[in-house]
Amino acid sequence: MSKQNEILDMMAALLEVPRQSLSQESNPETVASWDSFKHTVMLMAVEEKFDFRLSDDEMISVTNAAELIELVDRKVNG
Amino acid sequence: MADYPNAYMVGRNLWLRALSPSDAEGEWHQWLSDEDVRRWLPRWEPNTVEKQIDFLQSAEKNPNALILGAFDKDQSKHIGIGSLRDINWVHGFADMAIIIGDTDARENSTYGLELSALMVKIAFMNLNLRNIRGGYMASNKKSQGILKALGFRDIGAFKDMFKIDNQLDDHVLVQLDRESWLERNG
Repeated sequence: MSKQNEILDMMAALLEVPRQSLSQESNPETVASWDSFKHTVMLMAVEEKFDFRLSDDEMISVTNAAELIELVDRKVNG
Repeated sequence: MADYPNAYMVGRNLWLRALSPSDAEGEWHQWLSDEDVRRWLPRWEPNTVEKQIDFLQSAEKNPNALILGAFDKDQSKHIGIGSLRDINWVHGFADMAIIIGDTDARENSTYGLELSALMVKIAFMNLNLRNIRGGYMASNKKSQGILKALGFRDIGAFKDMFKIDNQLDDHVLVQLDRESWLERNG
């Protein structure tokens, strides 16, 4: 499974929405359950799964699914 | 910073500035009467414009408190407040709290995380504090998640301190020290 699909699967589970409803453009305004809490839960989930730590600025920089995928890719691959 | 007059700090989506009595005449004073906001606060009394102005004037005279309004950068709408109170300048610590009062901002944004992160940054980088204290009601998973993500550690809890929806709730105390924060953000 690609990292992108892995992250989107994880997001769907944590946001409690069908996987098919998520795309790279999904964001807090398009997904009703995506609030500050779910945002932090997703960030901590990717930290744990991919074994890295995010700075406060990195956490705030994520405004949609594509940016989360890109951030994980950057942290994992440097 | 012409777009953000008198800004104290500008973040990615939010900017912070000191509040004035005219701000109290907006929606701000209504937040503390809102049931969704009030349920997580140890207060019961309805708020008014006059009470809000009294609070503001009292805070302005207090050298050990920093109260800032949070405004979204798109519309400069006042969406919340952040505070560092009981600042101890000798030992370098303060109590941090935030409120996201605007309903839409509370439910459809990540402003709670950003406002908390900005207040932490101010405490450590502008005020040069060494420790930040905070707390949350155990059933307030949103506050717990934000504080944990920012690196706050649970220190302990006062048992059954609050009664929310007829259920007793613990008051969990948290702490973040400057060194730990710098390890992730330096």
